[in-house]
Amino acid sequence: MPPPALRLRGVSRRFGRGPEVLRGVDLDVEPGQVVLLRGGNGSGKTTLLRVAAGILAPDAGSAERFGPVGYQPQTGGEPPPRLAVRTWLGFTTGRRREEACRMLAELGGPAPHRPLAELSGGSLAKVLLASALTAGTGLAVLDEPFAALDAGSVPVAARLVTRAAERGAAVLLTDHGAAAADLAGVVADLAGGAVTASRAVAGDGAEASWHLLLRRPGQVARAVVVPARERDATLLAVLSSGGEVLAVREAPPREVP
Amino acid sequence: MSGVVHHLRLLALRQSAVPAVLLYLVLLAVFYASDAGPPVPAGALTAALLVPVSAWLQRLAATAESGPFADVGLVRVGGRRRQQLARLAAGLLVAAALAVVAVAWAAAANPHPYPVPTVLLLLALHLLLALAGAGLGVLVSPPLRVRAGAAVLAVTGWTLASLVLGWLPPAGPVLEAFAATGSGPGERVVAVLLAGGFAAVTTTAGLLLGARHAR
Repeated sequence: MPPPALRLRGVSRRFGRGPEVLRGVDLDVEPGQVVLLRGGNGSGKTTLLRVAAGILAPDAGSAERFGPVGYQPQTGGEPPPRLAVRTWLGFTTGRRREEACRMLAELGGPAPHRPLAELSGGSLAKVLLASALTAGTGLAVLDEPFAALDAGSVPVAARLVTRAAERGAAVLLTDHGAAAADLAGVVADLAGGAVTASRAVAGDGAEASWHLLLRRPGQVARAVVVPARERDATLLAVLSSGGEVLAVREAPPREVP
Repeated sequence: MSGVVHHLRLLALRQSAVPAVLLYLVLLAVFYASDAGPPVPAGALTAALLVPVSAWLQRLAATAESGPFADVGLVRVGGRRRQQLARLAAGLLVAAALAVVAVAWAAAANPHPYPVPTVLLLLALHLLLALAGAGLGVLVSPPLRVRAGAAVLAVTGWTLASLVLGWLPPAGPVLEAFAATGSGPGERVVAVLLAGGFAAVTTTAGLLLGARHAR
């Protein structure tokens, strides 16, 4: 059993002398899994994502990450002046810059030569998403990735998130829209700084999902999460192409006290 | 390494970094416009002037990106400590380049002989005081919350006090030992140790306080 891409154990966090924003959070995100954090405003979602990405250290508990991490913050703040999109993507994604530029084009994002400081909020969100999904081959942490996008871009962005997960990245995201709920394999509810419930879902939230470990011909083994209705078709496609099925496991609904 | 290159690029793209560099070059030009005197005393003074410039560069490196972009950069380089070190290194590299320019300028413009040992000594003095200035800069830069005005006052005030008071590091003891007449090797060693200690203490304190403040 491979280790999870993210393992949070008993994570607590407060700011200054204020109340605890996170209280004893336990959460695993496995490779290929898309986990949606849900909760109202002020429930601690963004703080949990920042701990998961390594920006904030927990006051108590531990946060372990296995593999490269990509992070998409909510848009806002001032981009560095005169820095072109391509240059910034080169910094955040290293040798995978061209892949990030292709993903940005797929999203209908800005031309790579344009300065970040000239972009609209939606365009910046696309740049940040392309960066996070490209850099986060181990774990992609996405804070409301669809919130600033126009309606036409949301399905494309959702498809890119799913593709990243199919390639083996663990995705931890938060979003209030339906698109995130549709692509999540696990939904974790956060209230008052604690995870109150975590359950495996698929698509409409009613169907269990399956964790498959597959090796397609000529490729490395990859973990994927599929809805139950797609399980047999996925297995058949892999086997008929000469690939191997290394593990099949149902992710049953579970409640976390 | 990518973090250092990134922060160097940000410094290069920031227009506000130009005045810091230009100011120092103008000071060099004015100072060496005529005979500035023997190489070591003259060089000690230009090294002392590098303190506030290096501090200024640190502040610019630390404020070149903020908010979400700084967060993404932090994740990219692998943590806050590495991000702080990358910013420190970027500011220091620019200050080191200015140190090289200062010594080369002196050797070219000052009508006195500059044997290799003297050039090396002056280079070391400039780099040492650039490091001390960087330490001062780290103490007045994000993630520590020091307003720009307060940062300018603190750096300028400390530098002026250090120039006037011969015992106050980093510049004071260096000027006393290398620019004043009648100082011996012992005083020079003490001056270098004081400046080095100042650089080590301020840089370490700035990095530790910054990491703690940003938690």
